[in-house]
Amino acid sequence: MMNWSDYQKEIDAIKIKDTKKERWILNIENAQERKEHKFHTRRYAVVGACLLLIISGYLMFSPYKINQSEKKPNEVKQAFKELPKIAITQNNVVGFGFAGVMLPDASYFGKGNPILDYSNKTLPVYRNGYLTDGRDTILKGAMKEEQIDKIIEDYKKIFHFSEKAEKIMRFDNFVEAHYKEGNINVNHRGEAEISIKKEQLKDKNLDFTASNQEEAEKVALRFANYFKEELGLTNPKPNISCRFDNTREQKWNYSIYDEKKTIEDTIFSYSFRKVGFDYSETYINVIISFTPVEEKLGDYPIISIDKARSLFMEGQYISNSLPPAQGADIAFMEIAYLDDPTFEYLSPYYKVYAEMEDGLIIPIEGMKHYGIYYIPAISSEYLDIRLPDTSLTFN
Amino acid sequence: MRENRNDIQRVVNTYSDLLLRLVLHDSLSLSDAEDIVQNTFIKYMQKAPEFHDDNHEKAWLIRVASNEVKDVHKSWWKRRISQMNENYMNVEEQKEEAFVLLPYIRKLPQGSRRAIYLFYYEGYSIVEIAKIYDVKEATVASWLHRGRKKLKGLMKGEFDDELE
Repeated sequence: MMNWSDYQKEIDAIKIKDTKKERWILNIENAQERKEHKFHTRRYAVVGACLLLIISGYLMFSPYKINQSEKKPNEVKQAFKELPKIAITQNNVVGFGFAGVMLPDASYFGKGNPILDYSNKTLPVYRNGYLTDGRDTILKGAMKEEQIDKIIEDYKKIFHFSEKAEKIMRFDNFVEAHYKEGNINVNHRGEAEISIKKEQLKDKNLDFTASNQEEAEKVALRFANYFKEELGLTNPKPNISCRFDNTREQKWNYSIYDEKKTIEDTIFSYSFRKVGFDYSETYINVIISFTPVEEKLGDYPIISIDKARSLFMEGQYISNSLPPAQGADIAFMEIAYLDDPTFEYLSPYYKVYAEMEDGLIIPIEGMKHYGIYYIPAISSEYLDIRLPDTSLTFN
Repeated sequence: MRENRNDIQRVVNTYSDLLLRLVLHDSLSLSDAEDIVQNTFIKYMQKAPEFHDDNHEKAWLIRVASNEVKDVHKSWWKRRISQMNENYMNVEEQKEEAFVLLPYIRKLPQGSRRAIYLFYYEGYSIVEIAKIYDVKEATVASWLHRGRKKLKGLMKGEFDDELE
């Protein structure tokens, strides 16, 4: 029989370590500085955002964009020496989007990013088309309601929904339209979730059952091919990762990208034109996340994987995870673009996974907890490092 | 705007645990809960409100943290795809391992779970909780009463509602 004393004991166990408090204090000081800086820059950002909206306008968010990589931002050809420096900051408000992953061991990381292999000498950097201060203020790129309505109209036609919605609900940041065949949600970033009632599908046997990576890839491809026409895909490729819940049951994240004629177009599709699938009792959900991207700044020289490894071992990384455990080795690494809404640039990072030190994490038998640590992939001479921790030079 | 590092250190060291415990009564991952606590401190520093005393300051922080439980800017993709990987840090999912009562309390209505935390853990009175959330005392009493009743129902007789 439990009582309130047991409750008090449970709550007693929730404590923040002093090292984390120190990191928070640095973060808060950094946020203070950014607030002061924003006062001077916001008015220019607002004018700039208005101009960019007029110039790039609706095209940036078009639902047809997935098959139109040829319309990607204009390349600005520049010699390395003329490339502008890329600001490296840390989002202290919403984090990097990850806190860590739980897997039985490192072999479950799968293939990782299949495109950005370690032999690349340069990678493109783009200006982020959607920017917030991380809290209440959208600095640029928020869609207006009429733009959201237009996208819903387009998806309605693409997915063969009825002409008239049964109900349209409007919220602060998204619009949800209900049709006889399912629902369409579009938010102010232009991201969409189309939920199609299973009974509407021609192929009633579509399912997500998979017991290993190979089968999961087949499932993703089956779905991609089923919606190939609707999504304008030319050569869909699977991008699969697995996860475990606390019952240790393995589940799959199904997503796809479109392989293009050039590696750069494929990188663009993989990084900024994500399409995922999942399902519930009643619906098949298609999740479309198109990162708003402005112009390409140029192709930047990147550091080698060996250099990234040594930087990690020296503690030269950015992370919102707990620190790596004492002597923890790299469990897995890949290159990924971060599309954080507080980052001015969309640039590549080495993403390192290593076992975390014990903190508030509660162990689950047979599972390991991996933190995620980011190292800018761009050569340090092209970085403008604006981090509260001044020891981070990435040299 | 407050700019004194000592002030930041004092408020973080004094109230971090309290605020994290409070927001973890909502169904959040640990990382989201931490983000909310950090946001609360940032608002404290930037808004720099004037307080009569420590209790007034503490009440302000509790109210702001309670209002911060929202997720406005996070990409749908990250919520739907990436955050699935954070499940292991979700306290609710650890009930078999470490937390027994908290997962049940998280199933209660928001008013009840906050009132329970402030009343049974922080030792606030009904009058004080009513002042923090700017509601009538009867409302807080109702939150507590309904919360206790529902908790007993959820735990199927495995909970003794008496304070030792």
